[in-house]
Amino acid sequence: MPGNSHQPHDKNIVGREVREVAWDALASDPTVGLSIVDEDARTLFCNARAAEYYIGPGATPEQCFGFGWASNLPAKALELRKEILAKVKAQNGPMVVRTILAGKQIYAVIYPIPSHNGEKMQFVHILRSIPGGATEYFKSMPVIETEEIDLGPLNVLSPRELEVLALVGQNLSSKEIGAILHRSEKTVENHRYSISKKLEGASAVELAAIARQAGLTLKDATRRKFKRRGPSGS
Amino acid sequence: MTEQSHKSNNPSLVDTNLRAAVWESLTLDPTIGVAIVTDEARTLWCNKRQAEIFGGDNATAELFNGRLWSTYFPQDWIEERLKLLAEVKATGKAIVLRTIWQGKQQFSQIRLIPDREDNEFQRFLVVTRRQPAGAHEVANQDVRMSEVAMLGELSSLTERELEVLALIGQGLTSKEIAALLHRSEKTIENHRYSLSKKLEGASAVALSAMAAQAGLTMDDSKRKRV
Repeated sequence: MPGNSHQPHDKNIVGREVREVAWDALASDPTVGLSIVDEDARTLFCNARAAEYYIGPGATPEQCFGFGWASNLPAKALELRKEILAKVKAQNGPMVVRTILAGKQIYAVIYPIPSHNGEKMQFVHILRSIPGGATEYFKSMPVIETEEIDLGPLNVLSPRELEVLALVGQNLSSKEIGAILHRSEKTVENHRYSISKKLEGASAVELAAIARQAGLTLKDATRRKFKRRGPSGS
Repeated sequence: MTEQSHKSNNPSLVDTNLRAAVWESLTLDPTIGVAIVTDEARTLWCNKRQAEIFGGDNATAELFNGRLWSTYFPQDWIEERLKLLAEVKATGKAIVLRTIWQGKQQFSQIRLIPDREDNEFQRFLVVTRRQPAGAHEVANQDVRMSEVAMLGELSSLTERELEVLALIGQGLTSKEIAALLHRSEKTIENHRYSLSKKLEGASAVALSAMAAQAGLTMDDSKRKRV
């Protein structure tokens, strides 16, 4: 059993009943998304948090059962997900995917579940939102960044505005941002003004918080944006 | 419970492979602390992340495994947790506890592990995650607030400075903060200056980031510091 490799005396402590409780804990955790997905990217189980991540705010676990990602992801994004599942299966070890959903940076760790003979492989997904600057968590695992991102409320921003916002999130001044983007300080100030206007008059401090939550990077500015249809559309 | 109904629909999901895989993914996760603790105030077992959350970035699980909490934790902290364990044992219901530890906000879910009644101790599973402010994830949950806080880099601040920092974290201006705290704008500016000086010259944005990491609220300024 994989779990037993942690400690020599695990066997006495981590019995079947502990694993049952661990399942209950994860399934009900408000901050952690848990899902079981099969090789065809069909969801077999979702907790409430995972349902919101996959389908959209307000989605319920019931809507998740049997949910095909195909109905809510762009074709390219779906292709990438299937490739990742195939890789996890081939190497029989976990992989990490970083994406942005509804304007929040999400890290998903995907683990293989050993399958019975001839059955389709299933995978555990553990998802959680992590603001920018916390990526050192995953330094020991390869992280795949998706090219399709759902920026949520930030979808209204232009690529240039997203670049500026990413740098605001890194606590840089307009002057410093101007130097990095090869624009004048004045131009950057104009972008900041327009960003703030589009985001309901957010202050500099609020903009930085928004950028942190999305974990926004310069690369994200030019990634393909998509919108999930949400629970009513599925 | 959702997972219950699902189990009955999908018998393959309750097999041992799945439970083992979920346990492995939970305990190896670099962001989730997992511990098995007892009501004798002892950690029987924890994963690496749990050790890091409580013992700092270089802490290993071996530091905590099998040890009594009194080896590492303040008495107030221990007593508060023992009360919660007793409640979870009595009701059988899980509790989510919010604490500020090392200056970071974290949420712990405490669950009963079914043990035989003649056991000399009762075991619990504790799952802990750091989660900064704005955690909409816990918005509608019944969360207990720990009365004991370890403020880490914020421990040099006075009660008043913590209040100001909490409000900076909410994106408020000095004028708005002054109105809320019934102080002059000038006084608030002074507090901000002193805050920033104590925190190595942090800018307004950096200050708000610290406040967000701690999930700082006005109430936190009065909690017992350990």
